This record gives sequence, structure tokens and C-alpha cells, in this order.
Amino acid sequence: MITVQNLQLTIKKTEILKGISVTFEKGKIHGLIGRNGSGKTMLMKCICGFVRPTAGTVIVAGKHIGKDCDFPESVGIIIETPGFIPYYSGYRNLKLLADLNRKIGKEEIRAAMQKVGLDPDLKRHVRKYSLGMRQRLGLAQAIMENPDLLILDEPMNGLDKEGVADMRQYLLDLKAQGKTILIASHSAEDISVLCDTVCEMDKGVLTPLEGWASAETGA
Amino acid sequence: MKRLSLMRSELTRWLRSDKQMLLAVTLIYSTSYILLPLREISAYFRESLNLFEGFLTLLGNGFSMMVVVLVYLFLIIDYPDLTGNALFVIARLGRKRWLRNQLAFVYLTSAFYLLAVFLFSLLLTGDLSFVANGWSNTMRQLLTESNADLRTQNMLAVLHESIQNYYRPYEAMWKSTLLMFLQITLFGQLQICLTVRFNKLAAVFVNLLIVSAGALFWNARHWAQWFFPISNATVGWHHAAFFNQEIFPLWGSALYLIAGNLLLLLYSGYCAKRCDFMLGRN
Repeated sequence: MITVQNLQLTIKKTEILKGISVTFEKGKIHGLIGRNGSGKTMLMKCICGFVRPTAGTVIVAGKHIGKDCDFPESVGIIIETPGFIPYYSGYRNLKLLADLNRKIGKEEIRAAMQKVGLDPDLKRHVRKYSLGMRQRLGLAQAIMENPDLLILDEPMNGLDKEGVADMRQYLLDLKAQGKTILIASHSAEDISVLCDTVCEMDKGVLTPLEGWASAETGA
Repeated sequence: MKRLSLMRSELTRWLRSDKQMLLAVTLIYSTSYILLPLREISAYFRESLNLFEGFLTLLGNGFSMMVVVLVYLFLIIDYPDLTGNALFVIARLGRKRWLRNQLAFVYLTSAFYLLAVFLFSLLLTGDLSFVANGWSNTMRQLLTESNADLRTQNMLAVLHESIQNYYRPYEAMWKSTLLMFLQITLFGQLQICLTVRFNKLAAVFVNLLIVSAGALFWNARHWAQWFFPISNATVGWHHAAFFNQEIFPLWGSALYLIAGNLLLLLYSGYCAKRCDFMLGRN
């Protein structure tokens, strides 16, 4: 479960997040919608621990981010366009990341790549990947360590129809396994197909969307 | 080694980077102003050189010192890398471990850089050199009154008199290399910490300010030069040339550079805790 309490973020006198309070329950897919620059990505970065809020707290799985730990312990992340080392293959990029905390081995990396529709034996360098392939690789890095929480910012960007359908099904499977997923998307269809709760971010204020089983917000 | 796995991959990326072309600046500089003139002087006197004299000459004067430091700073200007897969890496390593890896990267690249410059000096003067622990007749003759003109013509190729007077080559070699290494790591760590805490521009500005202010005070022979790493890292400037007089204690400079490095290590812990990771802020 993710609990955000009175989260405020001000950067260079601009209020990015204005006292957000929300609870995202475990085992559900939570959607975040809103215009570009409304603060969705910053909220996700605060939850991930990349950005320290000006005020307020983020508690993930009972741990206060920034006090008890730097980052949530079991989290897979795609924020903004996933970047990789361009002159390595997709597999080698994932291996490099997996080696950082040695939670998984070669088999898990291969399995993650196959799940998102990438060939682990493909020797092609990432710089020659299409946008959709990079996005799939980004998702593979997010899921390969089997995290309990997935934070995905526009994960369908650059995917073709088939890719979007695969990805949706895969996210629904993960939900069925009890994973919590927080997803930001501009696609109304993605949100309606996938999400159990939806919140809209507008100018740093988060409000639950009517007609959905809403996340508990302080709004 | 698990803790330093990022450092290994960063090092590989650094070694493969196009920026390594900048290393040529140091190499061309040392070839044009130090190593080739040394070869010519050696041929002129028909005497050999000591194996370390080329490298020690490079580390022994202010202009070369600035070139060596600035080229290193430009070599690592892309680091810490906050683009590409940085967020994935930081999330897996944690803030402190990630920054420690960056600092380890600075130490290793500094060593690589100095080693490359040293090997290059060996390559260019090795065939004319001996390894015994004594200064060459080339350098001794260059210091005599009758060769004043030759000295003036090859100012940058003359090994600082005080080094020859106060040290033997092996001692001068390890002391100069150590101080230079500590100076480069000081600047490198400062770059990493300030980039993480503020931004790249602030880091580059502060480093350039310290290098130029240090060079300015050294040029003016002002006592304030000892507040800056560039003077503290140059062994020859610690002694008056021909007199048994210490201008500034070498142990004081070593202490200054070690303390600076340690303070930055501590500061890095604070930076790791306080920084925000904005992708592309690099």
C-alpha cells in the first residue's frame, strides 16, 4: 500500500504538488491522468524517492521514503522515456542492471524479455531499437526482479496496437498475482481497461475521478 | 565487488567514450613542450635522461599542471551521468551506494589518466633514459650558468631546480605522483558532489575558479597560493631553488590534499541524502 500525506513540492518558487493526500491500495491498478506538466511524473518521482518533497510524507509498504529507506524496497519503475546504454544489446543492458543488486540471474532476465515480446538472444544494439522495442525493454527492466509495486509513467508510449494489447494483458496478469501498479497514461482506453481507481492531476492538485472506485484522497 | 559494479561499467563507458580524444591534448602538449625538447637537449649534450625526468617535468610547472588538471576535468565532464539508465541504476543501488560508486570512479579514472600520461612520457623518452636513482647529466648541465639561454628557450622542459636539489628521482617521483593524484581526485570529487547537489554548471564554474585563482596566486607568488590545490600538488614550489629554505612544508600540502579529499567524501554523504534526481539534468 502507498500512503501519501499532504505532499507538497515547490521547485524554484513554483508549486508543483499542492498538498496531495492519497492512498493506493495493494493489489490494484491505480490510474493517474492529467495534462502534460500537471505534476503526475513528479508525484511518481516523489513516491519512488527520486525527488524529496518540500513537505509531507510518502509511506510505501510501511516504510517512510527518505527516512526509513531511500527508495521503496521492491519496486519496478518506468519514468519518462526509458534510457539504456546504446552500444549494448537489450539483454546486456538488463544484465548490467541486474548485477547491481544480484537478486536475479540470467534465466529471470531472459524470461522478463520474453514476457514483453523481446528476443533475449537478439544481438542488435539498443541504439538500433525502435521506440516500441525500447519501451518493451523498459518494462522488462521494471518487471524482471518481480517487484511488488510497479510505477509506470506512460508505459504504452511508442507501442503498436499488438504491443499495447500484450502489455495490457500482462499488467492485468500482474494484478491477478497481487502486484500493485500505479500507471500514468494519456490514453483513456488504457485507463478504462486497466484501472481499478483513477485520479486526475490538475495543476498539482489530485482529485478522484467520478464513476470510478476512487483511491482515497484527501481532496 | 558487488558494491562497485556500477563503477566498473562507468569505467568501461568512460574508456570507450569519444571524450578520450581530449587525452590527446595533454599528450600533444607534453610532447611539444616537454618531451621532444628534452630529447633535443639530451642529443645536444650527448647525455642520457633519467627515466622519470619527462614525467616529473610535466608535473613540476604551473602551466603543465593547469593543462593536466583541466584536461582531466573535461574528460570526466559527463559524470556523474544523470541521463539514460541513471534512474534505473540509482533505484537499484540507493543514493549513497550510487554516489560512492561515482567517487570510486573518480579515483580509478585519475589513476588511469596519470598512468597514461606517465607511460606516454616513457614511450617518448625511454630509449634515451636510465633507471638509476640519480638525475641525468642533461638536467644538471641545463642548470649551469652557461646554458641559461637554452633554459630560457625550453622553459617548460626544465625540471624545477629545487626538485633536483632536494630530492632524488625515485622520491620525487612518488611524492609528485601522489600529490598530483590527490589533487585530481579532489577536483573530480568536487565535480561529482557539486553536480549532484546543484548542477553541472555550478561544478564546472567552481572547479575552474579554483584552478584559475590558484594559478593566479602562484604566478604572483602570493602566500594565498597555498590555499589552492595547484600549489600544494607541485613538489618543486615547496622549496626555494638554490637555498636550503622551505617555502611551505610538503607534509602540510599532503595533509591539505588528504583532508580535502576526506571532507569531500563526507560531503558526498550529505549530497546523496539531499539531492533530487531529475533525469537529463546532467
